Amino acid sequence: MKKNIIEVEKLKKTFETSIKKKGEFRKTKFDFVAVDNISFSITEGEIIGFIGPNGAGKSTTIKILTGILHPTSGKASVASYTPWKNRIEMSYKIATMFGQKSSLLPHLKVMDSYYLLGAIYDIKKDVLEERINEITEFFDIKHLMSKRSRELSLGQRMICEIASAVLHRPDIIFLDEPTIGLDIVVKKKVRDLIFMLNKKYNTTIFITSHDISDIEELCSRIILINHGKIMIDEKMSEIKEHYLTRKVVSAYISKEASEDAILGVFQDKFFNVSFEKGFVEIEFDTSTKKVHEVIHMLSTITEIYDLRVGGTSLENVIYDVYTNKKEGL
Amino acid sequence: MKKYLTFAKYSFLEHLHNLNDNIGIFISFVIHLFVFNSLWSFVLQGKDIAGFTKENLMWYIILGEILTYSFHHYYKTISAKVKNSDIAYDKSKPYNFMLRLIFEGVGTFPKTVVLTIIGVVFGIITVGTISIGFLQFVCIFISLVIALLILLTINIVVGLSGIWLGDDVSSLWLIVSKFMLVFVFTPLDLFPKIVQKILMFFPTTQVIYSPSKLLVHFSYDLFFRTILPYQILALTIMIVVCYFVNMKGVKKLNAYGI
Repeated sequence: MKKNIIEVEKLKKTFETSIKKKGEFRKTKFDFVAVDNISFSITEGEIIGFIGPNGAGKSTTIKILTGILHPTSGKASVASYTPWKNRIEMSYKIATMFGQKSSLLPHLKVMDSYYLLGAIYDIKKDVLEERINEITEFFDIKHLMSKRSRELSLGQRMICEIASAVLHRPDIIFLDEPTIGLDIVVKKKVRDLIFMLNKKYNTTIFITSHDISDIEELCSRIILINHGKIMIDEKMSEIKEHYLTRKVVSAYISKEASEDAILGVFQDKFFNVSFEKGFVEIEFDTSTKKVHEVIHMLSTITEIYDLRVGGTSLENVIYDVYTNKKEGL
Repeated sequence: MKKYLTFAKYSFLEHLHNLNDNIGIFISFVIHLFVFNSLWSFVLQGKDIAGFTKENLMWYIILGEILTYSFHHYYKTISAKVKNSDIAYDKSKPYNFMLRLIFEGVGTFPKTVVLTIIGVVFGIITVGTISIGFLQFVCIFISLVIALLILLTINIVVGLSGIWLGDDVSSLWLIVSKFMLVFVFTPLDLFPKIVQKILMFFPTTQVIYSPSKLLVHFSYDLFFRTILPYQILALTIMIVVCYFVNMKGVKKLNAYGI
């Protein structure tokens, strides 16, 4: 059985902040709760999507888990260390990679940055050289080693950054917006590399991203946080089963078909129908009606010329949770 | 220790690559020296002031200016780390953050070497050589190294104060740099005795005045009984302040963004 590599229990972080109210000379101080009693655990080798809108508490949580911030209360264990008490020891076991930050030295060769990271993580020279050989082959970046970091394209830099994060063989990698600003080709390559990394080294990957397709393609589980609280913590397959049940049947139908006849059949609490002459769109929940039943019902009223069945995207579900239209389980 | 030396090495290499970005500083340095050379020639007219001849004053100013320009804008590098939250990223790595800043600062010394070469050449051309024995040179060198370390810690404190001050860091540096510049322009000996006694406790005095004074008016008594104890005291205070600011600053890192 796989063991938990990250454990968080009733973690809370409040910041003292102040605002100046209109007409008042002095600022009023108040406590802002950034992370509000969250608990979760992550097993080794998992790829977790830790998502939420801006200001939800994601970065604060990551800062606590990487030992940068002290929590106000609660417990956390990362690779068997308490992050804020054993920051240095723990940092040998983790890697952080933030899309907008670079760990590469801009004016020097990529290889130099790797040697610096080797020194930071106390990796012996022969071991480091072996690992550099291995990762440059694995990531196919041998040709970039002698280039200065500032000469790299954004995509090349991101790949070199990810490669640099595994030099010290971390058990956990915290990735913040790993594909930000990348075109679809490089984005796919970065995702493939993250996936391969997880498979090859059994590295636990903790991703935060506003790009839901990153999350959908990479993560086996999602933790969605909003207003400092966990709204959803489920496996991707369960989320798809629970939330992605709404389907839309869009059909080109006979222009002779009567609106009243169609609305008469479909306009009840289970359906959401929009009708135009020759076209109808029926939205429904698959837990109440099956797709083939809806198509059959429609075909009994009118002739169908063309048909498309679509679903609600994960992005829409997440949007609903962000905007409080949908409560998390 | 190896990792900190590696920080210094790569900081050194980066600064070596960027040496041409400092041409403005080198030109400004020469202009300052030229202005002071003309000014002191006019003021002194072959006489001396508080025991300083024009030659003494010029070598005093050359060393003072080298020190002033040595970590020029290093505080900005640190405050930029604070501003764009790189500091949070840096703190997630296995090293002592303060030591990293110190060793990276040490790595900026290619600029100090160039400034020294320019300063020495300027001094020899304008006022001639200055005679120093080997042991005297060792003492001055020790004082110089301590002065640079104090200056480095001042830069770190000002840079990290960006956690509280934001963009106002430049204003703080302006105040600090005035306290240094005053000793470049006017040796402490020109101040009233009581003011001299108070100013000796200022870290900025120990950066500029002490090594420069030692260069032009060397005595073992001055070095061992006055300059060295005051410099060690100033360095100790600044290191404590650095760690205090760093410790308090970590808790103040902002809530949003990494």
